[in-house]
Amino acid sequence: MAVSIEAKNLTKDFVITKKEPGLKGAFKSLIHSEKSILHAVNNISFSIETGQIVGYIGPNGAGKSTTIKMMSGILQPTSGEVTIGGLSPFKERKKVVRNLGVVFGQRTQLYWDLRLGESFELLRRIYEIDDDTYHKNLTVLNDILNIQEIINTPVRQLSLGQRMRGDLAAAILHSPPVIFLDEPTIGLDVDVKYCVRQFIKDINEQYHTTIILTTHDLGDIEKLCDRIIIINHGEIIHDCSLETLMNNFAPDRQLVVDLYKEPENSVAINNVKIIKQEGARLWIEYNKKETGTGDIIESIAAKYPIRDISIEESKIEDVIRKIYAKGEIQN
Amino acid sequence: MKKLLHNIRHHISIILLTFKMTIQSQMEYPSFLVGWLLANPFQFGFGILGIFIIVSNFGAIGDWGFQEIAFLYGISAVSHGLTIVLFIQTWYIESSVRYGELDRYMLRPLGVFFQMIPSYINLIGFTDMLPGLIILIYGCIKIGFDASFFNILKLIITIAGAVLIRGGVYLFSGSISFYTKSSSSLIELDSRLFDSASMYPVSIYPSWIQILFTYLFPIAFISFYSAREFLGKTDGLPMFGNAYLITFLVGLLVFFLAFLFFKRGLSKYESSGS
Amino acid sequence: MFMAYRFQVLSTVVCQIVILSASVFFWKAAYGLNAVQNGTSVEQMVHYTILSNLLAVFYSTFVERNINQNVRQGNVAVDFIKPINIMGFYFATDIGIMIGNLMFRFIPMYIFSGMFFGFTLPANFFALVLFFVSVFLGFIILWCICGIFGLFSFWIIQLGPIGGAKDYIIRFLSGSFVPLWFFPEKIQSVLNFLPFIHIYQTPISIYIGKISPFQALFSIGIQLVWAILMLLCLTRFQKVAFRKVVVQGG
Repeated sequence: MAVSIEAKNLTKDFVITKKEPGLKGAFKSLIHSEKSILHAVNNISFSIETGQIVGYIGPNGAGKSTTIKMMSGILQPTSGEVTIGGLSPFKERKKVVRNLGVVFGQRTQLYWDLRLGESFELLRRIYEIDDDTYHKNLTVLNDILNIQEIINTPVRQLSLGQRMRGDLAAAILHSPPVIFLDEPTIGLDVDVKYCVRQFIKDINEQYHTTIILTTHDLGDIEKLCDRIIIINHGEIIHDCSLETLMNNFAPDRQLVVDLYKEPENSVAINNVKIIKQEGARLWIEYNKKETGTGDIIESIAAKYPIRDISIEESKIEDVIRKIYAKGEIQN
Repeated sequence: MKKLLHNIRHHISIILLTFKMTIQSQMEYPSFLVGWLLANPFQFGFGILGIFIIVSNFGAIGDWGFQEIAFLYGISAVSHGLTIVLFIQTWYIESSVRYGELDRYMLRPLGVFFQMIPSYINLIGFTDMLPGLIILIYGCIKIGFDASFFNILKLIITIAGAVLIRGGVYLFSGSISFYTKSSSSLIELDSRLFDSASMYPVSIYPSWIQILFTYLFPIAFISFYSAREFLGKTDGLPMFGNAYLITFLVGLLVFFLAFLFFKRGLSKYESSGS
Repeated sequence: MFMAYRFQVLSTVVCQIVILSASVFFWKAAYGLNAVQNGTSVEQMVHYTILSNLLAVFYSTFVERNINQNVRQGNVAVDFIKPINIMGFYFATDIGIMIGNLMFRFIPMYIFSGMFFGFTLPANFFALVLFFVSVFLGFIILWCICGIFGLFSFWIIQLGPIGGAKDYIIRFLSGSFVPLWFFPEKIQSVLNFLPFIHIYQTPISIYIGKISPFQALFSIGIQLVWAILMLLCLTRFQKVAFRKVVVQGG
């Protein structure tokens, strides 16, 4: 597979001026101000293949946006480099952004005063999109995002969900092979969220688009991403598939068993770890790699008749929270 | 060469489309446009009326009669209006930086300066220009302006230079927001200075102010030196060469320096992200 | 934040100083070699224009903007349920701002203009007292005009540029740029019967001794009548405007 995005020892430092509060502090900072350096992104490297959907996650202030900004040519790296299709977005900004679609969930890229359709017309002119491609893309977009419904509305009058649909459409109008989505589902209701996820999937499948997605909604990650990169304090702490991550951090699974009859004394079965018992319900924890679920059920059923069972996987939220918390301790 | 031509065509087509869309969106608030159309004549009308009343009491201001001042005032007001039409975006660099609009410009495959300043033509600015144009035409008629082709060309070059000076100074002030994030009060100050140095003859000021407005902060070129040459007057600082050409060259220089300052500010933004 | 604010204040003061200086030089050039014109000496005229500029930075009429903003953002209904007289609140705000203007704008500018163009002193102590009274009444008149204008927001949501036009009209008709005595006589007699001259020209004329103390008392009497009249207009109009909200909802 061809490499689409590559970061090598990418670093971004910000100089922060410490400000003391109050009038005295204001004058003091005029004469002499203490400066400190923040490593917003610290020596990160990764390479992303064409057609991958990568979830780029981390707590607030971890360096996600700074990375996205460096990848899209808005910020100059302090050291190291990043390339998109072999080109540096900072040195060859215009060439790179021509093949890039970027959506910031918090801020629209559309023209506030124009109707959505006019925004599209202007983008068509800016990116020099030929008629065929433009109309074809517009049809596709209309199928997935139902753009026709809002195309004549001024952008400032769009609801958040409508605006996001417009923003997504605008970002891929010029058929970019690479898309960055910075929190595309923030603040959206269930319906629109579903629509946005469907859109990302469809685009990726149809056009083989490389997509980097930052989000705090782990549902997005679960539904979309082949791979996740977790960043904290400017450093990559994990880079693997969601499955691998879950297997490594949450190897245990819970089995909840309802029995027909409440057992008279506490249940004990060989090789089965019962962590809780309440009436006719048992909670069992086991390592899914080492122990087969069927085996456990079998051993219980041999002694007690089973009425119902359910399996509870560890929640991805809990895993991620654990990972973030670990990062805090290390630092 | 072919690529250059293509580029120019591309940029012009964007300017035209943006202009068309700006007109459409401004037409959605007709009351706003009408408001400006009513308000602007008051500003310039009362300005020139005040001068008229004073001159009819005193006979002249400095050596300048009312009709001569009207000519000067007209050049200044027209160049002000054109600056509003072409360069009003310089006033909003501050908000672009502060509210992250700049990031949006950087995500498009076009120059940031192009997207920020010349790609937006402000229709409302024409309501600023209209009263100025009337005053200028009145002044031209009254001073017996010889409307030969060459003279009209000279006048146009003068006004182009004046627009470049005004636009350049605004651009410079606006670019300060890359460093301090606050430039709106400076823009206001610029406007006041422009009015003081171009709506009355600069020769009414003590010579140190004239030197300041000519060599250090060359806003006296907006209207004074060219108007003086057209009128064949000799008051104020001596000047060699053709005033209209010097005005234009000063305009180019001021705008070019401001453009460099803008570029520097932008690269500072790229490295600090704020 | 504090430094940014200071920068703002400083550049506004510089801005005002530029306008003030330009108008002084303008008048000096207009007088040229004449010492007296229409009964006014060049010194009086310089003092007149300085005082006019100082008053312009002193008067604060945010009332107009406050009303307009509240109507546009739909806060009028909220203001209604507050247990205060909202116009009174706006008035108090403007008075507060004027105290700030006095310290951060008026006094620095007065010192600057004094150093460069000579300190302007009132004709006598009595004139100084009358001047303060006259300024206060002038401000009431100006404030009421702006308040009435602001109340138009209840009908026209975007006052924007029309507000600017109104300011130019007031500045011109109040003699703040060119005093009335330079106007053609017919226009003078019309303007004398309008409230505008009492905003700038009357107090300044008292200060520079353009009118005698006896005339000054008479002028202040007329100012008082205008101030009361304008206040009545404002309260009456306010009722009409607020009733519109009650009927239509904010």
